[in-house]
Amino acid sequence: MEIINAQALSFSYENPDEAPHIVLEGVDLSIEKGSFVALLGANGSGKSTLAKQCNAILLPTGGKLLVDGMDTADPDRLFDVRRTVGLVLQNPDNQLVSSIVEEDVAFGPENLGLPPQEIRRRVEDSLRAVGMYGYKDSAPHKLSGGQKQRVAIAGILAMQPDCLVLDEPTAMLDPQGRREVLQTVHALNRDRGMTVVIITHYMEEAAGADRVLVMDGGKICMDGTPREIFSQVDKLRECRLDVPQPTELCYRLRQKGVNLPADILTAEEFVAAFEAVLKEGADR
Amino acid sequence: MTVLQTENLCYTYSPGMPFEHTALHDISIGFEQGELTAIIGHTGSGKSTLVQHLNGLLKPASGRVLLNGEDIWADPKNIRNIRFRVGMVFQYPEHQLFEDTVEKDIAFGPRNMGLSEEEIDQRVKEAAEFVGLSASLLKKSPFDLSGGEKRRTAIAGVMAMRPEVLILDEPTAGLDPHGRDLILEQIDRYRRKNGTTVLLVSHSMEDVARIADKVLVMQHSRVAMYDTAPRVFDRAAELEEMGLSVPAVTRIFSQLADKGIADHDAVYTLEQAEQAAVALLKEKGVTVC
Ligand SMILES: Nc1ncnc2c1ncn2[C@@H]1O[C@H](COP(=O)(O)OP(=O)(O)OP(=O)(O)O)[C@@H](O)[C@H]1O
Ligand SMILES: Nc1ncnc2c1ncn2[C@@H]1O[C@H](COP(=O)(O)OP(=O)(O)OP(=O)(O)O)[C@@H](O)[C@H]1O
Ligand SMILES: [Mg+2]
Ligand SMILES: [Mg+2]
Repeated sequence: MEIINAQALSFSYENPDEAPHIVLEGVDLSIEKGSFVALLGANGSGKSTLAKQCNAILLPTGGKLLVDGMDTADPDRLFDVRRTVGLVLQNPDNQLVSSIVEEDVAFGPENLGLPPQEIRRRVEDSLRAVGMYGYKDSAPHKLSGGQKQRVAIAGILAMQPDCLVLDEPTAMLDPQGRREVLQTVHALNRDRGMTVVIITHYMEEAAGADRVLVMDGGKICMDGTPREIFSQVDKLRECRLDVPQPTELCYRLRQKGVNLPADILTAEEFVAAFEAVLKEGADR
Repeated sequence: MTVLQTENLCYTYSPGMPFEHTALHDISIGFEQGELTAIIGHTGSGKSTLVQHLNGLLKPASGRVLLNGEDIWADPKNIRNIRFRVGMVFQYPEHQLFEDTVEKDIAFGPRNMGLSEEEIDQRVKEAAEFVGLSASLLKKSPFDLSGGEKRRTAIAGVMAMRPEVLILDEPTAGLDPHGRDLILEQIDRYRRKNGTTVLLVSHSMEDVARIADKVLVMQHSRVAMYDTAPRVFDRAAELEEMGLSVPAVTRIFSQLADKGIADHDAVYTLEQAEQAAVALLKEKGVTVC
């Protein structure tokens, strides 16, 4: 079953003083329920625009987008579309609305009309999941950049959507914070079957996904498993992207004729493969 | 020569209020002419608060900030001038974009410095190129840009002032890998050419290892380490403890060292990793061309 289904989806921003600028160009895409997808692409390639289509902040100007079978352009289904897909925006300032962290996180569940006890439980769980429970009484605008980002994530987690779309949720987090957020969303995906779509410029974060999509100029130009995608170093470079450091090291050594696999993703995998090559050399 | 310096710098947010928070605790450090220092530290450790003191956006609760030996607050009326000399790119670019076109936004600093129209045009063009912003975006509203395009605009606006000291708060967050490499290279070239002192806040250990001469590690409002990049990344266990890490290639070589395969783990960049790997392969008789 697919939760997101784009059919020839096109979109252009219409600004009065500008020529229309086509940002999404005939995107065909289907995302299976329960999958974990990483969406990569250069600045301006259309990632955030596509993400905003998924919960009907923006509507297609051509083609259509179905969320769990519902057409996002159908005004009668707007509420259900937004309940199904939770979007963490790229800039937390655009998402934080209340003057107290706790109220901010409660905002979404309140709009879902949940009983107060359930709301309280969800707010607490979500704030703990992002390590911000200690700040529940603080003011969002008085937090550091990374702290704001965590609170914004908690606000969407509290809505427990079927599909979580995160637009660069880790851009301003320290390495541990990045690991924690990734672990949290992987756990939601694994344990609750939540579909996850994560946009990132950190290639190593995409390495743990089931599927990697690459956007370029408003189109999806690559689609495959992390190993399939990251073994195509030259093609990724053309899309202004990169590969994780262990993959890059492997690539450079392969260029020098060293017999390492092309699809190494992590430091651990590199170490094991490198050890094997050294052993082969010693045996010869 | 020490260009920028803090003496017993302290700062508290909301003093006397229930959410009083001491964000800087007795910081005394100096930054040398032409050096590039990376500032790392866990979320909330005080990085942004520190850099905002260095160009006079925040005023110390106690202690001093010295630029070329002079207290920047000696004459508070002069603080505007300090902000031209010490350029700062904010953590959230939205906080510094406000004009109705990208072009005007980049021109804002140079215009306020009283430069001629011709000079302003020249600088806008140069700065846009510096950050890889295509000319087609210059007439757009900065609010209609993608996240990475906004960041590029904010960086261009500061570069157009050609500051003596350049401070960038997480400049590569939200940039695509190509843009990240381009801008880091450009910053490095700029400071080598002009002897500019650069401070760069970052959460990317890979970027830090590649570009920084020195690394300043903040933890709980204090300075935890301040040393050359290799000496800081040598303390991997302590960094992990603080919520930080070391570059992936450094992890690879410390794992190889643990297995007795590599004899040292002083590898911080891809270039060093490649060299070290080739040396190991040759040692074991593996052909490398
Ligand atoms: N509100 C808007 N009005 C007009 N054009 C816009 C608007 N928002 C974005 N754009 C343009 O649409 C294109 C795609 O923007 P989008 O935000 O989807 O990119 P992105 O892939 O998310 O990039 P980034 O990695 O920089 O966040 C960009 O070229 C941008 O300039
Ligand atoms: N306006 C404010 N009022 C009260 N406290 C604040 C304010 N701004 C920041 N703080 C607090 O001061 C501490 C330091 O914040 P700062 O922004 O310097 O952190 P940082 O190291 O830059 O973090 P990040 O990596 O998340 O950007 C944080 O704990 C934050 O909650
Ligand atoms: Mg975006
Ligand atoms: Mg900060």
